[in-house]
Amino acid sequence: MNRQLAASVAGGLAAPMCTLRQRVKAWARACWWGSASSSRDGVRRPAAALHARRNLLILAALAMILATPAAAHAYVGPGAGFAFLSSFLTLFLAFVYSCFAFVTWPVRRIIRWVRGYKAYRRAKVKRVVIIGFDGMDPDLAVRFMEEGKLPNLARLRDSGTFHRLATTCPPISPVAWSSFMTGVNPGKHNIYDFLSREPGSYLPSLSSAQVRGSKRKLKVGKYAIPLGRPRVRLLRKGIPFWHFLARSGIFCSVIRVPITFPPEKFNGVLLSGMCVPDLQGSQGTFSFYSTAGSGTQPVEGGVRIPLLAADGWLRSYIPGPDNPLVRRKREQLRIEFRLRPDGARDGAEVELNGRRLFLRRGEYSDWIELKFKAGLQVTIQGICRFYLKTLAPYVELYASPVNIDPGRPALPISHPLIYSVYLSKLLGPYATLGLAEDTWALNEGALDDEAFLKQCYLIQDERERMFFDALEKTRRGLCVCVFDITDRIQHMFWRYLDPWHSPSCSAQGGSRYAGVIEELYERMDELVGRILERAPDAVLMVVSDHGFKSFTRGVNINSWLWQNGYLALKEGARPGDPWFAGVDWQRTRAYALGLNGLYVNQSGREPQGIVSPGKETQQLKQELAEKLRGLVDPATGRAPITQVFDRDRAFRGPYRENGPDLILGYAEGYRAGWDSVTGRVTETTFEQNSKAWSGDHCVDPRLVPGVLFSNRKLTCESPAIVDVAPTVLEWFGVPLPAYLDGKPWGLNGGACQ
Amino acid sequence: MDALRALIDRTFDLFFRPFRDIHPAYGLSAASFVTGVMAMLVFRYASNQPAMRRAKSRIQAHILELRLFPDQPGVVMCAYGRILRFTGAYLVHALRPLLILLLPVAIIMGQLDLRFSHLPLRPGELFIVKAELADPLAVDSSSLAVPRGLTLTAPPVHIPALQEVDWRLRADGYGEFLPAVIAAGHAFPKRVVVSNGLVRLAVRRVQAHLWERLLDPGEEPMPAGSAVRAIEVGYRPRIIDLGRFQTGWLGFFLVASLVSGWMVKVMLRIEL
Repeated sequence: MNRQLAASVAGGLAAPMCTLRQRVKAWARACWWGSASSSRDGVRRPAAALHARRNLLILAALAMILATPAAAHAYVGPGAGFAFLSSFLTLFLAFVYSCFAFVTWPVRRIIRWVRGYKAYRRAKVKRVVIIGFDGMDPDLAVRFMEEGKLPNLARLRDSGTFHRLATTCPPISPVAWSSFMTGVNPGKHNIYDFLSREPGSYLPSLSSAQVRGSKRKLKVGKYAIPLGRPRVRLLRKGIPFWHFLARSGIFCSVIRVPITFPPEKFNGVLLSGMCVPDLQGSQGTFSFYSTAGSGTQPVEGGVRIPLLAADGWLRSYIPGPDNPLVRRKREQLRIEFRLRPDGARDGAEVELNGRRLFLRRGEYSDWIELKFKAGLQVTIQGICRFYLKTLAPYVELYASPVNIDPGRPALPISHPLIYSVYLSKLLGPYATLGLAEDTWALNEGALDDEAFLKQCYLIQDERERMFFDALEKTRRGLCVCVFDITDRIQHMFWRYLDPWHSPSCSAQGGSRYAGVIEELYERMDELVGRILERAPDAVLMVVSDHGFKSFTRGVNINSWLWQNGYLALKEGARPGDPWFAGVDWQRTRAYALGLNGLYVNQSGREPQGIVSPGKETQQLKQELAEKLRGLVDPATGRAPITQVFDRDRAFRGPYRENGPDLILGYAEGYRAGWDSVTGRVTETTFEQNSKAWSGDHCVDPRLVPGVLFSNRKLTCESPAIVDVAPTVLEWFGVPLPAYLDGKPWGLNGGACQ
Repeated sequence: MDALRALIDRTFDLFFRPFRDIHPAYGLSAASFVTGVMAMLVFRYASNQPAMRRAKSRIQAHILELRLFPDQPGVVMCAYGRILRFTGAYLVHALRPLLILLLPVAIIMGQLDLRFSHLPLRPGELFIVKAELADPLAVDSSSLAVPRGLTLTAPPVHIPALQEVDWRLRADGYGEFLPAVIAAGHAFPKRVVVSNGLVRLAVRRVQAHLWERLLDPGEEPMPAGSAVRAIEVGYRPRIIDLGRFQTGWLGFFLVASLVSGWMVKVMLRIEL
């Protein structure tokens, strides 16, 4: 039948001398034959046949257009005008670009040769692929491999390499990944925690990057128009090893390695990872909407906003960034939206930014483009996802933090800048926030376990697509990608794995979620399998920055310092205020900030320091270390701190002074309490961790090594994460900078240095 | 078909009535705007907008790929191939609305051509009436019946090689006139318009075929197989005067409809 159709149309088109009427007849006959056949046989036409018919119709239409005598008659309105014009321009542009790329390729090669780039000349490898599974635990990996659940990782272990990989002190992701990329200890890269002390105050600030508005502004009426881009400064020091590779002409693709925001320039492509802020400038502020509440309330990591009924709709808003154009008072930009529950369809209709969309209960929406209008035709673009949690008795809606739109980034999140745009055009919008998996939303009950898992895997799918695109583009060179999902799910689901965890946390759905971490490892193993399949020639390394342990008991070090006379509160001040609000610094000798850090209130360094540097500080550190090592949890009878590390011994390098004076190494099951991290002094030193965040790694680094797998036999004794950078440089034949702390591993039985 | 043609003529007459005695750019602008809006709405509702958006995004992505990976000839080649592929996909998605628009835009352009391609005659203006005859032997025997209001100013010119006879006439006053070519014993009238407004002008009257009826819709066609193949009146072509810039109606229409289409596209967020 299709052959007959084709013949009739082709006949009509092929005869150049036939009249237009004949051609139209041929087309009409083809159409008629098509419809007649479907009605005659009464059978649903298969998709292929329908496509064939559609294609024939298109061909016929094209023929009609081409056969029309006057040029004017070929113009079928502005729609077609745009379509053909843009297509032609696209092809023309692409042609020019590709010609340019081909013609200049030898020239570029010559320039590189003249400049002394000796890419691959001394390389032992052609392509290195490094997969980072943030927080993959060696004990769990071994257990699951022995149970036969991780066949691909087991294959790597058996035919290549498997080791425990020593982490950094402290074993926190930003610290460990900074050492991974720079090959140095924290004293040389300046990252000791997520937070660092703001010089001149006792307030914390983000340790890795500083974002400030434009320096110069044009003040016009109520507006202050920025005359330049926001100033984004990377606070991490040290040079990532891919910069050395790039200088030698080796192409590198770096995807979502933590502490790469803002992206640095080098000859390769990079998408920033952990510590990329959201549009509000925070590390992730979700919005939770409910008809139950009446006022807007900030919660940990987010904000609760009421849904107010009006005209049969529920109205609310999405909070955005502060208006960068407003001169005097702080004004937060918002996008209003309205929502109408539809019980019959088990969802709700949402109107936002002039668009309508339908949300199904229990499902995430696609990424929604948000345009915050600042005035003067300035818009700031972001993206978010909705999750309709419940419809009854209350309507509850979750909105993810507003991510920087990768297609129109408000801040640079990639190098080159167009790389994030390219990925967005290729794969669609994707999560750009550093900590995109919303652990706080689960902690605060804005998301349930199921919703959190769905979110994690949606993000993971995006990242896998990005990674495989980068792998395809990196036929020679280095391809690095860090997947965060392993860290986030273990943080939030460890309670189902650990029988000793708080029963209140694991009461609901324990059996249902008991296998979540196991499934996670299986998914990662399957990913490794796909990588091996797609890049059989590459040297593959699978690394993690640390392992995991249970977090059942929190230790509030500031409370302990207060109770033991090292920290004092102002007269009349009540315990419980965050960020040291009630602390009397004139009588305080030490304070804790961040996950593992303890600082001496040293004169000349701290704004109101009272402890002299040198001997007095050293004595105080020694005293604190001894007392903390002897601390006992009365509820369990166990010592919560196994080791206290002195900064002067733990770190070497020019930035050692910026680190905490003491690093606390917690025992398994313990970690800094939630209040302690935010500088809150409470009545009790110990607390039961009742949050969903139930696994952690901010403990004694010796307890939480990471993993090292490879498809090659690597010669390495006591490998550490700091060794990765010199190893890769050595394999590519790039000279190692003298300041590196790590030691390269031997490849295929070669000796390690 | 004739009833449909008459209906279309009347509809367009009604549309252009407010613009009859003013600068032709106004009427043409209005028609261009309507065409732009109509075309955009057709694209909005008849095309697969998400698929078009995806195809466009993919094209843009692969163009960026050329910039991002210029040192990798394999990637560049692949990207170029994909650009071709997705441009094809994009055009396929654009074809459905294009097909829907084909007939209405052809009709609109035919009607615009009738009104804007030529100027009507002015009183006192000399013009040529040209007849193409089917039979070369009828060239010498054919004649022209001239109604009152038109004056024959010279004897006919017979061109047997082209089977053509030309008459030179003068318009004496405003109005619509029907001079008739007499050939093989039959009269074939042709409408001649003398006016200073925006009116429908059929330059040629042709024999009846479906396609000619659509593309030359100004005047009822002559029966197929007539002794006269076509009659043509020598109206002067119209130039749209935009101050320093002068253009034909088609150029004006192309630009104006593209601009109005673009505005509608932006306002209604139509993917194109």
